[in-house]
Amino acid sequence: MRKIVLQSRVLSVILALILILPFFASCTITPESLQFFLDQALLQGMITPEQSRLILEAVRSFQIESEPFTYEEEYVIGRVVAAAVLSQYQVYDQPELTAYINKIGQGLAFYSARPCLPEGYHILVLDSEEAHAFAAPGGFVLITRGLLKLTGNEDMLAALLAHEISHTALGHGLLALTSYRMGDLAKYYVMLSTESAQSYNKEAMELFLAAVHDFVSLISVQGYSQVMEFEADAEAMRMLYEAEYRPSALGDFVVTLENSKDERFQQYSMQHPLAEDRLSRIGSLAEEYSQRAELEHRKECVQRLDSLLQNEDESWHNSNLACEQGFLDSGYELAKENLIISPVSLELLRQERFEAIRPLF
Amino acid sequence: MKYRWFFAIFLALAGLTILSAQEKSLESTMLIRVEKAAVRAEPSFVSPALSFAAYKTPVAIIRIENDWIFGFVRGLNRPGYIHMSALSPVKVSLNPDDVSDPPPLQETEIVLAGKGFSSSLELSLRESSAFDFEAVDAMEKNSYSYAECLAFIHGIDILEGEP
Repeated sequence: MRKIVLQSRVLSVILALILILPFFASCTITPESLQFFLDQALLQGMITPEQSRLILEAVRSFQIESEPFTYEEEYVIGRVVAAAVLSQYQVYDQPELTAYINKIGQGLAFYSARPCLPEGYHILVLDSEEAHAFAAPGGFVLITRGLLKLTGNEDMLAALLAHEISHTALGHGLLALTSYRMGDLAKYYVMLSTESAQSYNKEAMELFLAAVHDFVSLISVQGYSQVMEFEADAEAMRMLYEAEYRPSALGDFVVTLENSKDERFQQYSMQHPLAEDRLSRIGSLAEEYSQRAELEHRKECVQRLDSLLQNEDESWHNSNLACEQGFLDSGYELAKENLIISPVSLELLRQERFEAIRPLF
Repeated sequence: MKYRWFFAIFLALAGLTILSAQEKSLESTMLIRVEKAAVRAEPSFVSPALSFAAYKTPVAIIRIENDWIFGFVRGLNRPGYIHMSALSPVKVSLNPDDVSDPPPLQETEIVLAGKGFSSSLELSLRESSAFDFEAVDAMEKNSYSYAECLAFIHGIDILEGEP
């Protein structure tokens, strides 16, 4: 009878801890205060030493669970998720295409929210006609050939890559995984009752594997939440703007995807918010970036004009005239040093290399 | 005579070791460590500033010229020169929120999905056919410096002397 009463007390203490921990998470419960609380409970005979140990362990594990992922954990999770995806898909072995995609993708990552990932970003093309993309934590992005085929130019390709990289850079995978972990507390407390340390590890491993499979299915079937998708779109457009790609190319990609009647592309569409919702947000952001670009161009012209007034050198004079006539881009004098090319030349270069690589898609 | 040869070889080996160590310590990406750093057209303090980079802005290094770094700075579509004193290496933060490292986990500790999962446990997963880690290893080999990628994106041919 006494045992049943004690067990119910322990259960009520654990329940109380579960309920109050989220509140303590914001004001940080100290191990000392918890220890004091448990000592008092022990002294009054409310709990046994073993139960005290279990509660301490549970609280500590819960606190660790509540902490953000470290990069090391993120990287390992990313590797495992990528390995799980790669066991189901063949790698598209085209070194030239892989290099092209990685140079663009890794370059875009420089403009992302997290440009300094210790192990960097890596992009791989999967040999599948389906339209699929997997943005795993730790900088791993996997894209199918089918999805690449929807891109009509380098700007659209960059938009697709920037969107997927944004999911990784903004930690969307980890947020989804954290929600999963928090929703799995019931399993956790069932495991607490297991006594053997060996079985702890075994069960923990099984739980982990189940989580990986659930996570892979989440990112491949359901996709990220609508809020995350809109966030990734906005971040992708900022990256495109900074990298001198056309931010509105993301809208072009969404339109192409929407117009595609191929059933193999429907899955990717279903993982994302409605095209009209995306296009409406993309449209207003594109307008903002267009105005900003115009403003920056004018600012540069004014700066150049100021420099000209201070410098009577012939080359500067020519440059100024050109700028006033409005047919030269901001990098005119730099072009002579091969340090920058005009937007028109850059667009031509990008178009040329895209057309050259496109047959490999 | 014999000893002189040994001494010369020893010196040469020592020199090579120091050189290779220096090369390894050279970062390919650094961060601005001052409130506002000028990005200049030439490696000189009298050269006009092309732009100003704020604190913590990443810089992709193309090459080093004396005390000047020539590289890409976020917010500027062309490479420029920044004085070395304005830069610091990238601090690798293990925690995304940049707080102190969490305590190491014990082997017997119960771990949930992902949290506390370490690379040592990956070894046991390698035996499973449900995970293709070799493909992931191969994927990670496709790595390029930011300088190379940014030069490619912006269509600039400046990779001579890249670190």
